[in-house]
Amino acid sequence: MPATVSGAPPGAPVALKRGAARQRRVTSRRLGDVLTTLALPIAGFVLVIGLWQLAITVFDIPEFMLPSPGKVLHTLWTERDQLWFHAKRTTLGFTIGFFLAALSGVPLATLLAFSRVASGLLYPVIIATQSMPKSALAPLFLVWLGFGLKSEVGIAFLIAIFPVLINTMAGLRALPTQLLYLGKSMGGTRLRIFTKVRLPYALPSIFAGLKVAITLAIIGAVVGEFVGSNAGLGYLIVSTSVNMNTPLAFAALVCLGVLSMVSFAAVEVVGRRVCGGREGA
Amino acid sequence: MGDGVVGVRFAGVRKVYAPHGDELEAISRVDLEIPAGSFVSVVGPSGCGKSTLMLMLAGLIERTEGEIHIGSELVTGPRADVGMVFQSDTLLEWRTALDNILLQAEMRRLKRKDYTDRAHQLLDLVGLAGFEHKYPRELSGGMRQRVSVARALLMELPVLLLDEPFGALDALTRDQLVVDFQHMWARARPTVLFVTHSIDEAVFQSDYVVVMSPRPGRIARVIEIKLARPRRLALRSSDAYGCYVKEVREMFLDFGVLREHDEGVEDGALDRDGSLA
Repeated sequence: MPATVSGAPPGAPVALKRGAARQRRVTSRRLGDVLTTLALPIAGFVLVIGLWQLAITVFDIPEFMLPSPGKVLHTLWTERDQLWFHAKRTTLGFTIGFFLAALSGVPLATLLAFSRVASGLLYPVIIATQSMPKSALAPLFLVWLGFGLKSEVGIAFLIAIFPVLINTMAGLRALPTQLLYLGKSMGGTRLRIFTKVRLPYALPSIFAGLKVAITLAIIGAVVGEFVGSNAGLGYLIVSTSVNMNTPLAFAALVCLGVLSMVSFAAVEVVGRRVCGGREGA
Repeated sequence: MGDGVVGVRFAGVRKVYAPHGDELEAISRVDLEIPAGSFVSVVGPSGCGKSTLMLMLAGLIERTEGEIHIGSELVTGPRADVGMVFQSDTLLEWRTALDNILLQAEMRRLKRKDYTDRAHQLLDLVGLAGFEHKYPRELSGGMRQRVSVARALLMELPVLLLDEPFGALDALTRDQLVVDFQHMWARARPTVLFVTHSIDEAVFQSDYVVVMSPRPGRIARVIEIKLARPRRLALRSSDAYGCYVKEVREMFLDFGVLREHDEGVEDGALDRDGSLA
């Protein structure tokens, strides 16, 4: 094998080629990341919207049944004032409901996690209430809290508090025994161990609950608007459907989707901040 | 030895766990006096109650019978004068290395700033200068355990309990931490109870090695290690050291905790020089 005897010169270009291949692989991986995180989701939306448009033209679907994507977009623009007004109202409803659920859910869960009497007394009641479909309670809220914002907030609150309770309790109870021992061996009181160790330990779990709660709060507010309100995107969807103004109903749906995603992202961002990049949040 | 440093005394200590009515005797009877300022290792097979002994001393779990004294004080509840290091490093993931160490001060309602300098010194001492503001997830297993040792040292407590502190680390990291810990211990000389699976680790570090029997745990023997300090790694190849290690290992063979597979050799039937008969 004379080639190997004078091996060095042919060896060099081989190494270079290998390097180039690695370079290509790195670039293609980066390209792959962009593809999966950005290009593919966009392509997915384009595909669905394209099929939607195609179905309308091919099957000649009337607008009051399924408006075209272009029509929905157009309605979003022309009816922007009305949509903005109702979106603000829905946002008010679910935000108040969500914050009430968060602010009462965490302390209540703490009580349930620490007091056997409290958990024995209340936990079965909470489970029983939660096993009922809460949208079925919506008409009753109308009776109790009257027509309007209060009922929306009430339903949003009732739906949103459950995941906060469950996740907070689970998080507080999950403290490893050794961390508890550690706190005690440092002379920590129960309260001090709670504030310095147990509560921070539970934060990722609490935020997992809050993320579920925010989406549920929106559902609750919309159900409240369906049943007993004269404002909000839920009300708008009901009233426009009755008038066969389907494009506006679709525009309202798009607004709800955006609201949902933005508020979910907001809770996620706050959660990441608070939990400092820990797993689970 | 070690004036003013507290000693530890177990008298007739017994522990029975009865979680669901079925009684499980973890420790049958332990009598032990540890001179103040000495380094004591506790070795024994898994489940012999080593950790139980330690948790009872720290006042974190109740004993069924007997008395435990730290100095002249009877242990009746959690002791804030006992520093602890666990096998899992028990660092708080949301705190930096420095903040994890300063948790000691915060828990005791002491001012952080009074201890910040010492915390920095300790990080330096355990070889983590420059890692003050790293979070535990940014540190290796060995580094995390170093932080947790530094945390136990912050308050200069008279008693330190370490429950298999280096058990989860690789052999090399483990050796280094043992050497470093020896160095740190020699400065203030607290009374140390060091629970370990490793006979080597026990003999190398200790003034006394307490060998426990399988469950229900009791003290099978206390071996005084009369090797000069400071001890260097080279000590491990000395004859005296080898004798101590062999003595402990033979006890484990006697318990049947260590078994060999050569036919015709009874447990513990080793020649004087340690080779099989």
